[in-house]
Amino acid sequence: MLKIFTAIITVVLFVNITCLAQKGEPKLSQSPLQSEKVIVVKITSDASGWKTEIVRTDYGAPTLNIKKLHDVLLTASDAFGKKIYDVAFDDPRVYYIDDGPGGENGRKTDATGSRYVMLPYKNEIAVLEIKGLAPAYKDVLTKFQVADRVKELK
Amino acid sequence: MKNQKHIIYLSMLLFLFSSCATPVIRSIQHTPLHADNNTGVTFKVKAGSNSEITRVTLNIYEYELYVGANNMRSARQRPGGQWGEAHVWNLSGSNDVDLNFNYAAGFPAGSFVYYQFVVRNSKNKEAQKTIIMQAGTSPWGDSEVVLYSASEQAPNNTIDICFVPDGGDYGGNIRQFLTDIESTIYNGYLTNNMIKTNAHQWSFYYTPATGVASTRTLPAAVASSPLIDVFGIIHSNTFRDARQGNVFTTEHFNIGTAVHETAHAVFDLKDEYCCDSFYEESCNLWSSRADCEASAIAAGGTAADCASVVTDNNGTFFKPEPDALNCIMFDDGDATMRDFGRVCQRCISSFYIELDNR
Repeated sequence: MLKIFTAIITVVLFVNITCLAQKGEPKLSQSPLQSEKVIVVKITSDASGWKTEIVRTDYGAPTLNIKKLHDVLLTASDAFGKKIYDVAFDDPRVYYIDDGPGGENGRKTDATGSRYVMLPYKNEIAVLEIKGLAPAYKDVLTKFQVADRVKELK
Repeated sequence: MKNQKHIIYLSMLLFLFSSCATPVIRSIQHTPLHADNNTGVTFKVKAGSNSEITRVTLNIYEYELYVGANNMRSARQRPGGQWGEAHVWNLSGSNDVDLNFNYAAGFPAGSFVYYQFVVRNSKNKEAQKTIIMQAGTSPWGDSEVVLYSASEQAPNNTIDICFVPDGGDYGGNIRQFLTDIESTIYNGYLTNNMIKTNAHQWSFYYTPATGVASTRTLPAAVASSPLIDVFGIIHSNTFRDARQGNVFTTEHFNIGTAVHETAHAVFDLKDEYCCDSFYEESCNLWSSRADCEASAIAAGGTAADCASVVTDNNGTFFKPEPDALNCIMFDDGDATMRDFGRVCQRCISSFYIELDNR
């Protein structure tokens, strides 16, 4: 009997939680589109290799880092090698023509390419590492010492 | 005793369903996507309910944009601006509604607007949906302008996509560009099976600065934007589209192409058509038949769903969805919107969970 009573209470609570729509005025944060301070990093790839440039700080969101199946992985670490953030992306020189079946498709490479990556703003970021993920990039491994530049940022 | 328990549980389930008959809001939209200063905006809602819809309310909350501490772009309630109920429909005799209201006064420069439809039925159950948009001249110049966001969690927990006009096709005619992408968003993205159900995880923006679709070149105003995850350079003349990193190109009317290319850029899904694309292992493409079969079965298919897609540049790969599904990664559908297939649905669902938990 106690079990049945408990089940009824559970269901009633569930109904109340799921069926009552949220009401009232919006609870918008003061900066609804710029929630987090980030470090803007420019990544460049060309025949000589990979380069990183820490451009500025800004407010936004760290680059999505959910899928890690792209060409390379950028890892930001502190001076002791502890990972702070990582994000995978494709070689910015590479583009894919997508004309559908029977079309003129394929992978092409420009001489140079660049893109921007946003890292969470952490004063302790000291090293950026770019490491290959895709088979064609298995030999890529470049490290950049950025501690001084990060400390200059405001 | 066991039967009695079953009856009680069944009754509770019936009670649950009967008391949970809230209305369903199918879509809410506004037009134009980005209104000029003090120009009327039409707000639209489509909703349905098992019981009669008795009341629909449009609430508008008006903010002004300003530069806050630390140069942070901020928003605050506009003094004297619209705040709350803007229009009410008292209704009877209909379980489905398709309503619109023209807010003729519009909004001044630098507006950030949060609008909300609340739909109530005869059982006093309510459903509501809210959208965030900008109106009036943006105080940030050519930087991204939010057009349509169903999320209060942007940008960290949303996929933020910015549409860029191709300079050759839209230079000097940004109003036409905005008209064109209205359909790309409302009749395209928001009708796709894996986007409409998770619209709260997408935010749509644009920039009035032009790019170059043929070379996938972004304007400087947004190239290093700290908000945007993906850029779509939109053109109206037809040519071969491509993707480069997080930049893709598409005609505004090819809604299927737009979502297909977005899926490459965001979810890293691969083409499933044979045999002349560039293939790499991903969530919907496998270098081993065994992995492919496991993926097909996990998504509710069978091992027999797996087929090879041959390539001459990177080996042989197996796709876990049969051609007959005609999914959007097999055939983007051009101007029609195809669904994501069951394996891709599983990949995207997993992505959405991770996005929510960031």
